[in-house]
Amino acid sequence: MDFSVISQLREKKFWWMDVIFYFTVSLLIATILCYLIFLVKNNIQKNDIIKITEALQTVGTDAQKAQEKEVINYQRKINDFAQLLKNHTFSSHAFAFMQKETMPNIWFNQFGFNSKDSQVQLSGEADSLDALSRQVAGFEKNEYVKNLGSLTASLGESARMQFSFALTLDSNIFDFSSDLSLTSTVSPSDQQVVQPPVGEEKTLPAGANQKMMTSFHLLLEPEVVAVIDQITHSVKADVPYGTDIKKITTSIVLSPGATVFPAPDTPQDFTSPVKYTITAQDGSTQDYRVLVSVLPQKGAKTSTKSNTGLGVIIAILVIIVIIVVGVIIFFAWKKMQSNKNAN
Amino acid sequence: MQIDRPIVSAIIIFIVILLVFFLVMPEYKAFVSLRDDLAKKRAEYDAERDYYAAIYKTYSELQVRQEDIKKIDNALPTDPDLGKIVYFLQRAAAQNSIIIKDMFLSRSAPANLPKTGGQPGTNAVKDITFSMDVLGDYVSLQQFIIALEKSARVLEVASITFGSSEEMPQENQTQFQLQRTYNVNLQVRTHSY
Repeated sequence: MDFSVISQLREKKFWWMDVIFYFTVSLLIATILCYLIFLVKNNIQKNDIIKITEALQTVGTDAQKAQEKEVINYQRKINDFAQLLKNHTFSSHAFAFMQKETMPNIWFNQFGFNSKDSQVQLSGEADSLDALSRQVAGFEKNEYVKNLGSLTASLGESARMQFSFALTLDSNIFDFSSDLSLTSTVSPSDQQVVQPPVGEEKTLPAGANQKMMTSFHLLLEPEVVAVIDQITHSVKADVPYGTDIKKITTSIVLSPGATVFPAPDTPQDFTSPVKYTITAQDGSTQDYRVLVSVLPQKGAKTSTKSNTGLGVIIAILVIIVIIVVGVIIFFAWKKMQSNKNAN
Repeated sequence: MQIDRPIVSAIIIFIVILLVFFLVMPEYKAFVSLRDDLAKKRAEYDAERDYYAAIYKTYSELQVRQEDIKKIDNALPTDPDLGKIVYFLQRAAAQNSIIIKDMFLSRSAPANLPKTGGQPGTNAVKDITFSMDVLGDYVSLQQFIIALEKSARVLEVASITFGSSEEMPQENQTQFQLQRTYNVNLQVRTHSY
């Protein structure tokens, strides 16, 4: 390698050497600036993380966890209750079926019913074999009878036909919607719950002065359920970012007999709070103030943050460009000065 | 003092390379990592906040629907409340002219319900079955069963067995209108947690 080049560089003054020199100095400054900028940004981010971690501690407090537990328990209970109602059978429909389908001159003296397999075991007496055959044919043709089996018949001591058979009924017969439900003569008070032997408060029936808003839904896609504060009589709902809240129809559930103005199916402008007046049967009124808020754009903060790195890099590049341009201008100015001196 | 620019330039470039590798790059990597952590923490915070906001909203709705909740609590209580069931059965029987001869708790077993997403470890719904021998005529028995089926507590009649050894009625009588007293065996099922 010829080291005389370095020696020549040291002895002769080349203009581009100045350019390289100032450029390297500016590069050094830019590198240090870069380091400092990252250092500061990292500290800011660390502080932000600490703040969010602290904020996270405030979410999920004991009270909130208690609410969560209660909500989950009720969710489970409501699901179980719905399932029980779905499977609930009305065995009394078997009585209605028998009353409807039993022919004259047929007398049953044994009745057995099991809801598990919807089977009815019957035995009794018939006037004649003809009457029994008509009864059996009637059951067989019935839409609710799935199967008729174990039929036995014999002439009894009373000169009547003694018989027994088993009917397997369609389980739909025991459904609440079945058209075989018996008309109850039980008074409404008797149908009420198990009354405790000692002091439990009875729930009062809905009075004529009731004017409560029990549910408020904004008919959007998807539907938005508002939170009703029955103490301050205010209703609050948050709708997704970008929702037009100038014309929204609602669905409102009120106390029995109460009316509301404006009507729920009339579109309302929720850019400012809207007042709903509920009138009870006795004419008394209660106002509810409905406030709809549009949620901020989801992920807006995140996207800003994700662009931070790019912003820093651009800032550093801009600084470097400015420094390089400055160096070139400085060198040009110096060249002009030396030319002037030479002249 | 005259600066030896070529050597100084070379040294500066060397220093810049060292700075970039040992200071700037690690800081940049830390910056990227912290940025990701921050985004994750923010997402976690937003998700938790939204979740508890939804919980609060549902909880508020439950508070408003206390009357409905009370009905569900009555229908499917947390405890078996056997005393209340026995009291109700006795009361319903008395109101419908039915005499309860004997009654015993025949079975208490987990109900055959599909899983509904409850928390693991929580109690499942249990079936409580009562076996009863009662006395009464057909119409009273029918009304008694309707009263059971329409009670606020979910009650179902799982099986009914009754019969009579008495003589058959006259031809102009309808057997369902007879005032004849039957011995009836009933299996009544209810539920609790």
